Amino acid sequence: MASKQPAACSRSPQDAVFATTHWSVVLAAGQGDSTSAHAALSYLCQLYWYPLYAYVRRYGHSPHDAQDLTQEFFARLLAGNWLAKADHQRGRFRSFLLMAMQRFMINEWRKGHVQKRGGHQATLSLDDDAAEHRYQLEPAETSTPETFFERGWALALLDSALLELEQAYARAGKMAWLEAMRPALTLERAAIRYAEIAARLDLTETAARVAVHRLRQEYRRLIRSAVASTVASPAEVDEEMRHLFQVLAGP
Amino acid sequence: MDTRKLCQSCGASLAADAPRGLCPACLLKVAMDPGSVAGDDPPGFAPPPVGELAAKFPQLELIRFIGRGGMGAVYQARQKELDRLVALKILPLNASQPAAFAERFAREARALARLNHPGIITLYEFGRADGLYYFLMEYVDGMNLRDLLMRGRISPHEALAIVPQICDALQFAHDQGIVHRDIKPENILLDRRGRVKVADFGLAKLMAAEKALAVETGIPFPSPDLTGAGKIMGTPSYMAPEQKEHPDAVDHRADIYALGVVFYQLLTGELPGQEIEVPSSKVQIDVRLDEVVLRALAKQPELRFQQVSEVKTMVATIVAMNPALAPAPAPSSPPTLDPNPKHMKTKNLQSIVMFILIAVLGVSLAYEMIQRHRLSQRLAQPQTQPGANDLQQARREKFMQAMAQDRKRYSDAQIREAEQLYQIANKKWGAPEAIESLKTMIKKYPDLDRTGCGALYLAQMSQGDERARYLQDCLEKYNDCFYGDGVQVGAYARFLLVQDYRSQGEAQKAEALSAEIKTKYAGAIDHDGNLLKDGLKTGSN
Repeated sequence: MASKQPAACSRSPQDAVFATTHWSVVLAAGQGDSTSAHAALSYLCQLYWYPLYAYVRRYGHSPHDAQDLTQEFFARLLAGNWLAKADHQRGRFRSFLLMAMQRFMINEWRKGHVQKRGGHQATLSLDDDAAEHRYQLEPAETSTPETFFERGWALALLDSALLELEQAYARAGKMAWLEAMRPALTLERAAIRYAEIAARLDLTETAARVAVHRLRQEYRRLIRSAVASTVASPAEVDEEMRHLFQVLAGP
Repeated sequence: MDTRKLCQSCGASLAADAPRGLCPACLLKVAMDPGSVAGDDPPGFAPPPVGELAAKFPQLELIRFIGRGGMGAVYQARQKELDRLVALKILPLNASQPAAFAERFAREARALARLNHPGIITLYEFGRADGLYYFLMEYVDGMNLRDLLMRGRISPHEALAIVPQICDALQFAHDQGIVHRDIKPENILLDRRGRVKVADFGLAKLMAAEKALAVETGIPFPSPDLTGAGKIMGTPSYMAPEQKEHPDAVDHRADIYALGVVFYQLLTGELPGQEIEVPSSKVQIDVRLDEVVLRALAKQPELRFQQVSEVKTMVATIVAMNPALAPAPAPSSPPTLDPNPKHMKTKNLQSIVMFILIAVLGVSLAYEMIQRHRLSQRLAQPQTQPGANDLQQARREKFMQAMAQDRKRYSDAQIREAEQLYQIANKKWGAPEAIESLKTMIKKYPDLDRTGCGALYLAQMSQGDERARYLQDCLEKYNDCFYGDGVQVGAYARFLLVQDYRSQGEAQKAEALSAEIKTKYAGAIDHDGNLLKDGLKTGSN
């Protein structure tokens, strides 16, 4: 495919995506004082705060404390105090966030430095009650808080990509297409029931095949770019995907 | 509808928080599948549904659809009469091809059916049923390497348990004149006991023939817009350069290249790039494996291993020298006790002979180059970046050239003979036969003892004048050679000479040489990585 590129422009398409992905922007900014880094970090936090909340809950904190803790954590994170400590060489946002939270729980929370609920400036709109409601629905397995966090992380990532996919199809006025084809996102190619999709959308089967093909390609692109926004270099994308797959598929 | 939903694809039960009611693991899996990134679902060959097949194969009980690749769709089935599980493969071939193709198909299939090897999926039956070309094959209960890779990094232990088995299977097929042409992780299956089974031998050729016929006859298949053509002919990432350029003219060395790609991927989790970074720069593995991989990946087929069995031999050698890499505990052999204090420890002797073997295969030079390259990198840390790749490239080329030279001077048979002589030395080491064998080898093929470790070994195994002569060789011919974990032949020979002088009461000569080691060869080490000067200080061996 892209292997025939001349040497002068040997940057892969992934590299190009990388120039602007969120975590690399944050890392590049270092101290986190630039506006674009702050915006990028807010964006990432908005996407991944729930797994962190669930982690704190699974750790044993009450809903009330977990809400306080998470709010305070993000307020401090976005104030930019900790980013200097992020490993600029090989940091992944997932590991960074978990480690920062662990440190925070040990150092800050226990010292009682957390301001009383409502006293801080909420920088992210975290829907506390919805989060707790969702947490109540989590499977009550005996997993460690860490694996629980990772699973939540993988789900949040899939959610964000699926949401973007929906928005794109909604914009094109093709929500019905997406609804009809959605099951094809998890099936082996041979198991996709094209005839059914064709009948539902009043298409020929060939047209259905083409439509499914496009859907899957777009979906893959979105997943890859979602993963890319949380790692520091393009080389890590595949490894991070494998890791998350393992988390979801279990041992 | 069930209250407890199951994933239609993997059968796992879906948690309440499954995104959009879809199985999260399968969602991610589909996003990862590299085979489909290039061109998912080219509208064309559609695997027939299980129900449809049942009617065409009354002798089979169709159980489930297993998967599909460029070579067709595979189903699990049971042969009713034999009560045996089988895999049914429906090939993406056009049954309306003229008779010439049917003959060709039968001829190829007969050749494949003769491939009877535990590492190759057995073909039970082939034919055409109601317009479909099919293969009925051995069913393997397990997973393929692609699945394994997707589940996470494979350890070097696992990789080294897998690769030699692939070599065996390929060598067997090559001996029968059959080239696989499409070696890739999807085609390498592992059963539940970790045994390798290579699938889809020769199918790439069949597909290519079919495609050529399709062009000639104008009967298109699998689809009018052959977007999948590349896939059918082979898989670009695993294809040898010559296979991309002249797909019809490839020989078994194309399989060796593809095996190199698979090996690289097993070790590093990644595909080799345009500029191949050695696996040991990515993961912590024995650097000697770098050269096995690099040589398999040589762009010119002449510079690759010429037989896939050589890959296995080298891997086995590296594993034997490095027990930590052994896939399973090696069968223990009683250590030979040697009362002669001049002899090095058992382990060291063994390593030396092993290294000689590798020297024959041309690796020591590369190893030495890598060691030196690393050293130079360490020494010149600040400005390594721009020049380092060139240097590495130049060294790689030098190594390849040296190997090509060997191949010009000696025939494959001669190189094999040299190798066998070393094998004998290795098996019988310490025994007179081993020494004889080694002497024969050095006499016949002196320049294949490239690193001088053969001379060093013989020096240690002999006495008196003979020993002095070999030591002299070490100093004169091989002084600056390195082998093993960086043992310099000249320095080690001096170390042995110091011992000799001391035992002969030549204290002055001994001290002079000892001083030389301390100054000129200050960093020189023995086979255990200890500094030689320390050994001299304590007087111990």
